[in-house]
Amino acid sequence: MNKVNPLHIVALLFVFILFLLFQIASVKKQLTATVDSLHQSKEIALKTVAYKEFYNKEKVKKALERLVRQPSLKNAGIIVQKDKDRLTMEAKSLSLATLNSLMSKIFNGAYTISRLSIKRVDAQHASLQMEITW
Amino acid sequence: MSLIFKQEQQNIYLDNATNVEFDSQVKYNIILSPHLYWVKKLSLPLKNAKEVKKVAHTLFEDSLPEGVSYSYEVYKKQEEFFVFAYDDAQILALLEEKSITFANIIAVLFAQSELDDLEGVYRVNDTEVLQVKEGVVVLLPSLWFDKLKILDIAGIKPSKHRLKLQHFNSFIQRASLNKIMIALALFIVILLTELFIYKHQVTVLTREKENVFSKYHLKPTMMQNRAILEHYTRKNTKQKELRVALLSLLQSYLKSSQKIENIEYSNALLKVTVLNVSAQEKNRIVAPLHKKGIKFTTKLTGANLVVEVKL
Repeated sequence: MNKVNPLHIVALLFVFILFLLFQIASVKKQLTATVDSLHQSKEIALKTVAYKEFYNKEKVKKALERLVRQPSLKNAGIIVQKDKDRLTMEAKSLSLATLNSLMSKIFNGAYTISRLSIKRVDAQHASLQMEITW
Repeated sequence: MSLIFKQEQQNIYLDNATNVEFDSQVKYNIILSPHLYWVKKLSLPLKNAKEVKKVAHTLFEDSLPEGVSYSYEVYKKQEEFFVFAYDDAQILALLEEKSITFANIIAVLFAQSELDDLEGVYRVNDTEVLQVKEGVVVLLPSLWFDKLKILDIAGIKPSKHRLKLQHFNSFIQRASLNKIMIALALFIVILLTELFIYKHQVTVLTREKENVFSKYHLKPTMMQNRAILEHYTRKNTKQKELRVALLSLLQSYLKSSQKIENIEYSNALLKVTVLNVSAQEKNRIVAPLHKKGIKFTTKLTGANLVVEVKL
């Protein structure tokens, strides 16, 4: 009477199959989560790298230095002050042409304007105070 | 201290008339009445019982009732083979009818193997007797005989010729069961392969994710990385909005008498002051902001219009 009943073996195989199906469902879920996580990581990585490159501190600094050294701005009486994390520009009276040229370059570049003040002095001149951070 | 319990053993002659008072504390040896099996005593040119068992079904061909799945058993005594055919379902049903549980059965035996040394005629129930004829235990009507002995099976020591009852035989053929087991085993192999592939894919993707982290110098947790991206996105959005709002206002059509007096931006608030603006002209000046969908507020103090855009 000690012979193993084949029906028990079949039942055991069924239980094992159920266990495997459960395991597969679990791993499938894990796989989907891993795929999502990988896509998210890639997306975040690419965007962050693009932003970091765009707002690169050293690049921004160099570009600003080149900008204020331009002849049209160099002699415009713009006082430039630079410290560790910001650059300020101050001019008491800028011609509208110079102001236009400066602002269009600032607006088209990757500069983070944290403060800006432009006040009309007369019909052709304006004062400027601007702070750019990085 | 250890105690060893030896359970009581009892022999039962099983036929339709058997009357058993089942006791779960007792273990039983079941001796099958000849009416529960078919037996053939044969001399065959085969070496052993195992070989005979392989061809046993052919030995009973055309001599057994059809529609029943039979099991076969063989043993050799001296130079002759005793070949048995029996219906598992019939025996199991009778055991169940007599309330004998399978767990309490030590062995199921043929009357042939256990009672072949009987001498004389033995009564087994009201209508039947057992007699050994030419070495075969046969069941005969009791009416044919006058002097009958009482069959006492209590002292019989069970032989090794036991049969193995197959519970499943009644509804699934052994061969079918083997096929089912093979199919299930194959299915398990497929599932294991699938599981292995999925697990491998998870490992590969996890490694790829680690590579992304090291290649782009990401922070160890996604929360930190999301916070960094959020910081850059917010910064970029504000700078874009500042440029769009300011350029929209500068594109406004102003009369020669109207001047932009002041442009101020700090703490995410853009404030533009325009001089000599009447209430009717206010809408024309802020039209470009409307067009770009930028939210703003205006304040007209005398002829001075102050437009404020919160970024």
